[in-house]
Amino acid sequence: MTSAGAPTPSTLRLPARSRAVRTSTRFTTRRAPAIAIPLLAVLLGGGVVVAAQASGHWATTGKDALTTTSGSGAGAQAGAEGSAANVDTSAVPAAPADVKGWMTLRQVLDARFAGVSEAGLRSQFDIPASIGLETPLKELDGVVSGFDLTSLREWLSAPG
Amino acid sequence: MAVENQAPTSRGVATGAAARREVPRRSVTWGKRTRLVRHVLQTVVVAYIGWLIISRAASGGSSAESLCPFGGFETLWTWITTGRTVAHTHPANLVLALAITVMALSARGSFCGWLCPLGAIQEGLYGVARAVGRAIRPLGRWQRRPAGPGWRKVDAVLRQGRWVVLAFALGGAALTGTMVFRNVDPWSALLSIVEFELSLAFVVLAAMLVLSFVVPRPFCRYACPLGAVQGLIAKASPVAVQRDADACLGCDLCTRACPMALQVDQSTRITDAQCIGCLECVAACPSQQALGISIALPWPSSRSLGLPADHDEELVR
Repeated sequence: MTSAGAPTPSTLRLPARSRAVRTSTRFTTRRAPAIAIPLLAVLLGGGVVVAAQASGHWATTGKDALTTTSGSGAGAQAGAEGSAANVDTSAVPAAPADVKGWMTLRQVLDARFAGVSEAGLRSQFDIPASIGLETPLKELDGVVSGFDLTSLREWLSAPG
Repeated sequence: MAVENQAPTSRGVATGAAARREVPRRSVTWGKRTRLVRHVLQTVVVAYIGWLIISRAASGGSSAESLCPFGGFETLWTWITTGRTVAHTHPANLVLALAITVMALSARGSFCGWLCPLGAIQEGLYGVARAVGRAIRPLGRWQRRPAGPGWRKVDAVLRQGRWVVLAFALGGAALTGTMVFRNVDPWSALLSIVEFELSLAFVVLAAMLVLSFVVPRPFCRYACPLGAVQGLIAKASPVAVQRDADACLGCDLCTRACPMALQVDQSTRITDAQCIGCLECVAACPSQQALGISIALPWPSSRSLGLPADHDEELVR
């Protein structure tokens, strides 16, 4: 459109017969600054996260929630990194559905679910005696064949 | 709008054989700046996720899965009905799902286009492949094939896959209380890539990465359930990219620039559920007024009331 070296003109000349497909809309529309809208959306999305963190609704691990219910009662933690050191490792799940992968076998047994004993748990999932009670459940996943959290929760709900 | 010889009609069709119009040209630097801002944001998010993956592998910190917005949608039903979250999800997932909802309402699929690390990785791979494809002819041919008419039919069918995946993921999570989609989720596979273990999710991830060399954003187009959710929410958004035929050259550069292969040059408002709000179409458009973001005001235009088209002096301002 322009010869080499010449400055780019500030206007475009449209063909005499426009090839553009017609446009029409049912609504009245108003232009908005194009780049501002996505950036505004990003800020709004970030604002939701910041507001959740400020109000104590942001938790990135199950440990946070458990600390909230059984710990100091100071509200949910601000984040995983910050909360890891504050986790109450003696906390026990209130219900089988609350059992988390980071919990140890001891925490599951300490919950005293009806009909659950160490011997029963070991025999149900063929957990060898060499695996101590301080082993997190998620470490059993893959080491003990047939063990997974869902199966454990189901069994804890109705051991038999 | 500068007009030469004859004013255009509001429908954008110049009447009279001698009619010629001049419209303001969009500055090339505008497009470059927009792309730069978007790519910087994407890079920051990818780097952050990379750091999370590495730090988790090194210290056993919390999983980056808690930073998956789709986990929030998966656990939503269980959370509403029982007050608990399904395994591998946490309150953070619900917060992120809310943030995505706000973003979708304010700027459609802007999360996908501006923040999603999985989308950024696919886009980056396709960008590299395009550069390589110019030198390696077979790859270049494969990259051009998805633009052909035969492929479009296949593409249209494959695009429905997002809804199937969405139904499977949400329905499965609601019925079983577990994240059934996690077993095939490339995001989950990517987060545990350091502890590599051959699984279906890794196969999906690998397929996605390979496909990214010939198709832009293949997972986003055909399988992403988060994109599908956003598309549904965005139906209520008043914001969309809008084309004005009065200033449009009909060059189809916008359609060719769209990573989701939407027919921008055939549309008035891009309200398609697959629009990721990346603004590539706007950046590619040489005419300053042909494409832009517009807000639909909550009252109908005079055109919808059956008035003649010329009644609207300028439908798109």
